[in-house]
Amino acid sequence: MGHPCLRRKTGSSIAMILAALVWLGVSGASPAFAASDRGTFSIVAYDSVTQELGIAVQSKYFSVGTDVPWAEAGVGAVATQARVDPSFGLKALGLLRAGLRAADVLRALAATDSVWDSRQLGIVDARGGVANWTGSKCLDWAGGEAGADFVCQGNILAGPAVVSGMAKAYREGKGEMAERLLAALDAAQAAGGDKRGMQSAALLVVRPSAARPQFTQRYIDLRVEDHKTPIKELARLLQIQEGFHGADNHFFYAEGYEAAGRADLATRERERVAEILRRALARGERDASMLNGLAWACATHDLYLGDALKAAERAASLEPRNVDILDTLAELYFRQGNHAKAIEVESRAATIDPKSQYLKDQIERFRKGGRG
Amino acid sequence: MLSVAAIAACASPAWCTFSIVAYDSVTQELGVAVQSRAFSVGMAVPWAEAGVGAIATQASTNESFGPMGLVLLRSGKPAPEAMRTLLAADSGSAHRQLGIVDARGRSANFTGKLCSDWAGGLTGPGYAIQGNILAGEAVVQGMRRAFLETQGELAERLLAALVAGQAAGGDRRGMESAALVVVRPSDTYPEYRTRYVDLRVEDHKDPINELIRVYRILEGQRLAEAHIRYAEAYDKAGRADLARVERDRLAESLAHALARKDVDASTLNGLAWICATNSVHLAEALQAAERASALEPKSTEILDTLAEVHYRSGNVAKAIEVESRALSYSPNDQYLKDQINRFKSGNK
Repeated sequence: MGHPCLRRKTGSSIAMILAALVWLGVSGASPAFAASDRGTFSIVAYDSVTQELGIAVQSKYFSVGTDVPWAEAGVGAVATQARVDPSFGLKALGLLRAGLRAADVLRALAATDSVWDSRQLGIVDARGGVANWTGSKCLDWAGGEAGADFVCQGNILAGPAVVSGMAKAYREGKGEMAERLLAALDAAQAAGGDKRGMQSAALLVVRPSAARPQFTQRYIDLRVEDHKTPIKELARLLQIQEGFHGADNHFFYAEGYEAAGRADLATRERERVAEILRRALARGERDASMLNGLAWACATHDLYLGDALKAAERAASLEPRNVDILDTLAELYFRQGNHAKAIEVESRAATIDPKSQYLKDQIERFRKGGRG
Repeated sequence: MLSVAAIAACASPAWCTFSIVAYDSVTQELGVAVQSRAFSVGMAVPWAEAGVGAIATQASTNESFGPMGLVLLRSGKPAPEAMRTLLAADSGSAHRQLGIVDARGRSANFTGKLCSDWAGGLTGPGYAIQGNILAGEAVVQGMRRAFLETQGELAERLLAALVAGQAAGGDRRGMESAALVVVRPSDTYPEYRTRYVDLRVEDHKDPINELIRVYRILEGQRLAEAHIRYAEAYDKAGRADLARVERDRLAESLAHALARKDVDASTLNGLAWICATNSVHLAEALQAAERASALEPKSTEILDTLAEVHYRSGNVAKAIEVESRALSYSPNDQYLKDQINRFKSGNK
């Protein structure tokens, strides 16, 4: 449990005494340490192809996502941990926005901080510059590793294998950044993780977009605040996200790349959707809204209709009276030329929601054979 | 024949949702609480920045209304004007629902005519409440009543509104996710400007109750700490009245914790420690520490808190006795030895 008064900037004398003990490196499970040093491991990364910046973090304290991860597309990503000062997040982003590189930002923060020896930070800038810092007073085992376009760091860990495992998993990871970040957390946990256990986790990815400015702050933004197995839960949420928003997002970026004459990158984005579909079907996904979002995105982009139909059928078998899902299923039948089946399924939806003008219009459209 | 946009708006993951955005003129907090039948509503709907405003963008969500709305508010546009500007530039506005409150408490909301029934909202000074695909108008009315009748912390009032919205039938399609965001100006702790309270329930059978559960943890930890920080800042600024409000909020958090049968030891311990080290609400802190210690009698951390509360309450003998018990469980702990010496010497 935390004793946050120890982190106050204007503390009472007791706070100062206790804080002094922390700084002197007195060991033991006394309350002074529980609060100020929060065992955490995180990875911060940049993808030069997609220009995504991202952070994944897990910790044995409540709602790590509120304090540790900070990111802005085109600017940088920051993890501030150990004796955490959450204000480092916004300060670092401000300095990065002003044009400083990751290493300079680290130096600037160090210059104004009185307890730098107890801090741990990882910073990646939007040009792929990386820097991280583990103060000598961070509790054992504490340390980090810097890769070409990522940094891993952690404290109160089982050992150095946690950080090296994290780095290896990210480096060797396939697919999109969010999945590689999750794989890194998984590997860290498998190597022993946080000595004191698990409680919360967060995944934040940002990505430049003029048409969807929200992505510059939240492209993927998932939280597990208080859970027995937060990394597993985060992975479960990411799978839902991939169908619910992810497929649509990939098609959106594919169109942008297409318009910019980057067919290679557009293909890559579309292939991500194919992979998401394949994996969802292979694992027998049980989240109907994930399957529905995925199937609908494919239907409306006229892509991967065979697998999309399987996903929609699966969604409909999970929630047979869900009108949205039936509509997706009907749309897919229609797009594949099976008009009779499309009309049959949409009519079933219309009996469930007889007032819906949209469903009536859809049936009419299927009868006429128009594309909508 | 429908346009593609219309198809996407209706059948793609639509945000069947109810939300409240609100401003507290005393604390200058701005907040959003939202629940939805859709996955991870917190990623899409709520947007807020201290000194600027709070926005909920929902129905067939145009998420860009969030960051773009904050830009408009930051430039000084009042909430109703920011809303008109956003909607004027959007071809899909008939499918949108939007609630905005600015940092002077001006509010506005909008429900596009193609939002699914029941859809609508209410506004008043300092708040806007809106929802779509709801059981009926009673949902937003219930939310308003609960928001206006609940006292105390803005976050509490927002959560009360969600509970009332659900009690009145809520989202016709059920529940999946919820989020609570509160932001607050601070020079010393700039992170509060974007994340004072920032809690998510992404995919859960009972998201509102889960949101309340995690909020109660936050209340006993970071929020309690924040109240002390603001109290000190107000004291320094000569605003004893506002400092008192902050300390009262801490007392309320403590009362909430003590009133809960299922409260966990670490919440009680955290609150007791914060009160002890700031020498406030010591009688209640003693109750909290004793209950925590009863739950986990061998926790040296909790015993240390209990000893500290006794010490701050002037009961030095009891403080030494309890801390000595802690030391018997962890005989090599230098910190506990130092504490006992400190109690003996009578130092603060």
